[in-house]
Amino acid sequence: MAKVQLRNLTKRYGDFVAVDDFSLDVADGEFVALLGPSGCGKTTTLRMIAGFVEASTGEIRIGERDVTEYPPYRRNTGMVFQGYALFPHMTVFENVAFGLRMRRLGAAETHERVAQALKLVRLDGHVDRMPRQLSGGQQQRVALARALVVQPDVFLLDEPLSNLDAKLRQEVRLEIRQLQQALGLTTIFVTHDQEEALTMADRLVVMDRGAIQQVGSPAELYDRPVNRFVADFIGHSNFFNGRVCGPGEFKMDTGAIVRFDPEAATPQGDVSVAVRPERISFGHSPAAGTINCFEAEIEAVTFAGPRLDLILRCEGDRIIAHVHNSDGNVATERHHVGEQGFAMWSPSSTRLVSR
Amino acid sequence: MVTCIYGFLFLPLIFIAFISVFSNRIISFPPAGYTLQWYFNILSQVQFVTGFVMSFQVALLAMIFGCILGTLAAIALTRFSFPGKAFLNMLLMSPLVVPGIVAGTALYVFYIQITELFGIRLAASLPGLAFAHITITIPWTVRLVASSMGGTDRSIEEAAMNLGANPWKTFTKVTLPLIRPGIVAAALFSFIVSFGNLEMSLFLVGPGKTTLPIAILQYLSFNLDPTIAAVSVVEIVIIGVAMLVTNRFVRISSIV
Repeated sequence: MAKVQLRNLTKRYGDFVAVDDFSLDVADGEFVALLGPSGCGKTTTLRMIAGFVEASTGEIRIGERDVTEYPPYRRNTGMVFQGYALFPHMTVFENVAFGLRMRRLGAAETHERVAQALKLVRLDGHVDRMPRQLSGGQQQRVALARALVVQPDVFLLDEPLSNLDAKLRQEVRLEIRQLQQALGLTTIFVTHDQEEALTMADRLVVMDRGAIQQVGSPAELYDRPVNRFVADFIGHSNFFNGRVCGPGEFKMDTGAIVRFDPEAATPQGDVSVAVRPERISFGHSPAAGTINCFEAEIEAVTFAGPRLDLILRCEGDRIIAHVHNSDGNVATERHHVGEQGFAMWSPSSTRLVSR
Repeated sequence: MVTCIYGFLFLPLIFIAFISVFSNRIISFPPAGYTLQWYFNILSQVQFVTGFVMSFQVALLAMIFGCILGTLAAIALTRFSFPGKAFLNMLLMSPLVVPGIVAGTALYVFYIQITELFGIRLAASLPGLAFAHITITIPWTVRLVASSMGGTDRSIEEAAMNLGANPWKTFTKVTLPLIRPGIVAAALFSFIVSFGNLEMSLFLVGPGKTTLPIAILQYLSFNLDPTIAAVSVVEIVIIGVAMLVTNRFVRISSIV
């Protein structure tokens, strides 16, 4: 495995900039997820690394090699495609052996390595099946084995879980992560599913409209988003517009003051305040010592299993607060529409983000 | 309804087979008796035998070269973008639009000019006929192969390249096997279209260099006995067998 360095990668289609000045270092053995809505340029970036899309400008280095000008078949990347892209006219064995045959390995070594790879994905015993005879999950494993058997320098995954049902997705997610860690695979993973990215990756790259919005660990991105896009794309956030009016003080458009941690980094320019729904509590009277406390009225209540979602009208905005179903007694009747009370959260739960 | 349509389609074929065993010298109804002598008569008419051989050779050549050229054109049209692509597509389809007799006449004039300029004789020759038939097989191959190219997932070819296959290996190991059904169907249709072609060949045949459909036409000018029906039955059987055999390798219905 090898490290991957992307320097100022840009892809233009005429006037449209699909990927804009993308720079990223992926360490040897690191699992990085490119996350963003569809059309944000994440897949184009991955395809540039694989060599299917030519970069307009910029440089791609895999290990010590500058592969920017290399055709896909000389880059030694292992890619798993969204639709698996198995060769429908070949058996499982031939599918997995394809890359080894292209590398002109001997028959004995080919057999041994294919068997090993199939065992790794727990598919030994299916070697003679055709892809169409396998379930979606099994086809996916073949695609994984086929990409891994050639010992690529970097493992590229393009939304590999999007065709699986929810239950299987959970399972495969864990499996890919374990495989990646056991083999020390340098992995770049493209997804639009934030939960997938948060649970699998060492580091996340959030993209929007072709540009990197923020790079960081899952916890960093969730707890310290730098802008409104990241705060809203990863998890949910409630936003209040206004401006900073003093150290640790933010004046909302309604005139009310929200206090935030003055030690936290403050972004430049126009800012909003972002508060996570699970950090907001709702009560009938202000709890002792609560600093941010605003009158609120319940507009709707929805039961979501592990929690209750309260839709509140607060400071002219509609916000969401989560109530945890920790005692199995969070029945909807405990809260009702039209109920008056207070929304409360601490300054440390108050994040300033650029708009 | 469906039965009616099939009946309408098959009735002429059944009737031809029926007529071919009439014993009347001139086709008339009702039959005076039944005989197989017309089938033996085919063999005694030398123009049918040579016509069959000629048609078979022409159809084979037109099929082989039409498939190669048509497949290459289909790949270019589906996989690459280049200036004049729409025009090329139209050009390749045009033999279907131009009446065969017009195209045949034009080719005849063209062949004569080639002969005058280079001394190469193309009119009334096997290469000349084959070349003419290639132009009418290409629209079929291009359409059939292009549609099966369109049906294959581009990422399968990308997967091959990702695994280290260069463009040639990708084509031979992955693309070609994937579009094989389209090519087989194209070959079959090319053969049939060429084998049965009459109007385009009219000006391009000569004494001793006649295709079967033209031999039939010429025979019809002077005779009206059931031999014609017998020849037609033989031709229908040959094409039918070709379709059945092809269908064993690829399901034609899944392509056309």
